[in-house]
Amino acid sequence: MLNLIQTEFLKLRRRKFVWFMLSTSLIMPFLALLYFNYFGKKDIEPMQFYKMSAYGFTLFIILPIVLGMLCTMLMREENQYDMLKQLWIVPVSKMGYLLSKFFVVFVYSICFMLITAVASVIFSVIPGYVALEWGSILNLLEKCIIIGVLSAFVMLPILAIAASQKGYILPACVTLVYAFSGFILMSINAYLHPISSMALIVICNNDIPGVVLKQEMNIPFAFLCIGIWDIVALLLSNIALKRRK
Amino acid sequence: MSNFLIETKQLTKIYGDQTTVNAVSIHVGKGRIYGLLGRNGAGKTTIMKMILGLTPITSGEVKVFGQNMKGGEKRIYPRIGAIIETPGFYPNLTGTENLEIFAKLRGTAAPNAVKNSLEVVGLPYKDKKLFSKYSLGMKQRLGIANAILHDPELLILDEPTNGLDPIGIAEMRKFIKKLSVEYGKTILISSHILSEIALLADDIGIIDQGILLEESSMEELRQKNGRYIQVQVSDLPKATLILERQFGVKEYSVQDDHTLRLYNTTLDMAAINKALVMQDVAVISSAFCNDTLEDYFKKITGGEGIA
Amino acid sequence: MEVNPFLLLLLLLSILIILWLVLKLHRVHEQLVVIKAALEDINTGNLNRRVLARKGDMTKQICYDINEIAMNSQARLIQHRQAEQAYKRLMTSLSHDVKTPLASLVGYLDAIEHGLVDGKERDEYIHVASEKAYRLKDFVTALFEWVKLDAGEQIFHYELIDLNELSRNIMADWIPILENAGLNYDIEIPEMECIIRVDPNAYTRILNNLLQNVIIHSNATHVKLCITVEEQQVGISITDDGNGISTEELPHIFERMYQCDHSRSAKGNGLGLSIVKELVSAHKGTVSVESALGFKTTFTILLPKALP
Repeated sequence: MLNLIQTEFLKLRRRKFVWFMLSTSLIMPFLALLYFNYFGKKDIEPMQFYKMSAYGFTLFIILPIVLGMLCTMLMREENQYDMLKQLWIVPVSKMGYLLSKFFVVFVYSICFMLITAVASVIFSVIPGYVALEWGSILNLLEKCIIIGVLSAFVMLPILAIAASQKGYILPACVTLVYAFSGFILMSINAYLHPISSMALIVICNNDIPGVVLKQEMNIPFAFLCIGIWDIVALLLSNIALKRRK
Repeated sequence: MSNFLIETKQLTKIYGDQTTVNAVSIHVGKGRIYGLLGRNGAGKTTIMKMILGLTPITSGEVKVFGQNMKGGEKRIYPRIGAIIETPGFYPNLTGTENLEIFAKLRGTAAPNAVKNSLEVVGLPYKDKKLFSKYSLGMKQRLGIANAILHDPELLILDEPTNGLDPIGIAEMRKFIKKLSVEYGKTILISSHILSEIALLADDIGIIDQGILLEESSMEELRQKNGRYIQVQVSDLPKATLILERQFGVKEYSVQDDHTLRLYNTTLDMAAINKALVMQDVAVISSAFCNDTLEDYFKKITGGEGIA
Repeated sequence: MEVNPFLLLLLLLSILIILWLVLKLHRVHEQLVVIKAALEDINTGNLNRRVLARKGDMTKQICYDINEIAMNSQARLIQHRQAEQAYKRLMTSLSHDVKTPLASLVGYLDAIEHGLVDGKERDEYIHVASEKAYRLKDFVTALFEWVKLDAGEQIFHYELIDLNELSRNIMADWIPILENAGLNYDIEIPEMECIIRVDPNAYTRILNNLLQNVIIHSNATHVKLCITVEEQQVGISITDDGNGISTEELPHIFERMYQCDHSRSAKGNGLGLSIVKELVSAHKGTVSVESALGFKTTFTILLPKALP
């Protein structure tokens, strides 16, 4: 298993686009910088800044789409160049294969959120909008890591779809629908969709200003939602991989 | 234990309502090169895929190393090297990096296996060239290098000379022969080119439209086929004298104490028989054999032949 | 109850380490099972069996060593088997190749002995019979030479010699023979000295066999000998414009007893080219052939200049 994961990372050598996608983690911190620059305010509440730079669109739209694209790319390569046959006769087990891909997504997602966190701190502290304060930074880091870890699990259904499809158009479209539907469902019934469930888990401490929840908070429910989606995804992809060969 | 490394029994594959492989039973003996000959689309690749367990079997049985493939993958795969169709690799990596991935996944039999197998197929080690820049011939070679990376006992090669130039084909042939003769590997190879199989294989299986028409050793086929007249006579020295003096026959060979082969098939056998009998040489039998291997394959496939 | 977070962390860490060790142990156990199965297989005579190991495996060196032992014994076994097979093939082809001329020789002698022929015809019979006997003798001589070479028993006497001069001398002897056979010839040998270490007898034999081959088999009208001296090696090529050799036959022509026309009766003995090959490889050189059917054939010998 360790070897499998190692080779997964070896396979990413010289894939410039994968590394390029990491830089999209800078978009929201930068926009937040511009936004607050525009109002010219000083001494903003740190949470205010971080909410915009790390929790908002990054969580709902950018990270899901980036991870969705990563999943599609990871799976598509081997499908397109007819490599799976060679892997199966190594032999590599279907589950091990899927899990090693998942691990890449997992690490990538955490890296993405860490970069976001670091960028948020730099963009807020250096221009002097926010006072350097360890408490809020640690809180930011904690939340980013939670987002990173959960996002990987949240995107497992996309990985499963990418694994069962030869092309890349369907997984790409599904990613978009998946991300936006999560955003919309947030205000209707957050426990139906993994992305909105993840958002609930992130804001569970109620320490983010300006977020008002209509529903009662129920964290185990949110975890249950992500868990069920993941298990269904794993089962389906396992069946699909076995059938395809 | 039988001496067959691969044995299939009544192997059948049905896609939809089309039978692509129909009750094929092949036997690949240990240490031999088995050539699967058939036109494109005859079902060769499907047979190989079924042997490797890469596609479900509709009915029948496959035994590799005397074991069922199903359930034994972990024990059997490391002993097999295979290329099926054109082998794919990661285009963003160099040849060496690609092989290192497989070496890591599978394990190797020697510490410098990647370097060795690249050397064997004539590709440079630690080259900077990416796989996406490789020519078809180089890709094929890398496929072979990957197949022999773990020094397997059994090689399954599907059209390994596809896309190679004539020099490459000759090299590949030499190399496959070497694997068999010098290293004692067992090889199952498929091709649609008769001459290639004829030069390489010890055993041959002819596939046409999913049906195994014939399975036999090359030696047997060569014995059976050729252009000659075989004559059995009572007094061999006298017969050779008559043939030489009266008919000017020079191209013949003695098979055993009573059997002669005449290689000039345009001879007037009636006159020869008569002359022999006239001079007290009894002709026990005379048989006319006018089949080259090509003719034979044409006959067996009932059509235009194979290549 | 107060829990020391430090101790908790330590506990977690040790659990992780134990888990890691268990996994490692499991891997080693798995490897040992594989090694055991492979050793059993090797023990029953399957010397092709290998034990695969990954870079980080603890059992790596053991696996590699087992593989090497199996590989070496396999190499020895195969060498032995090849020699055996060569011997067997030699015996069968020997019996064929001797039987055919012998049968016809007996035929002629019987006819003479039983008085079936007389006068001039009888003399002719005796002449043909003796010719056949001589050819048989030549064949047996060549065969012995080949067997000696193949077994590595031939002793070579290498000398530093001017290859160009030697080739000119050899060709001087061949010119009348070529003319008799109705062959035009071109000889391109550089004027300068080319000192390399060869056994002159072996070299003479190589050229003789190749030229004889042209005369006997090719039906050529023109033959060309060309020597090119390069920095590392000397190339000697003999080209004729005769029948050529088909691509199917080409890979086999250096095998002993292989004759393109499949008949054993023809003039050659099927050993010439395999003797050439053995002699050239004894000089650490290579011999190759190119042919266009019905057009031309070129034999090229490359001899290294460095000491063999």
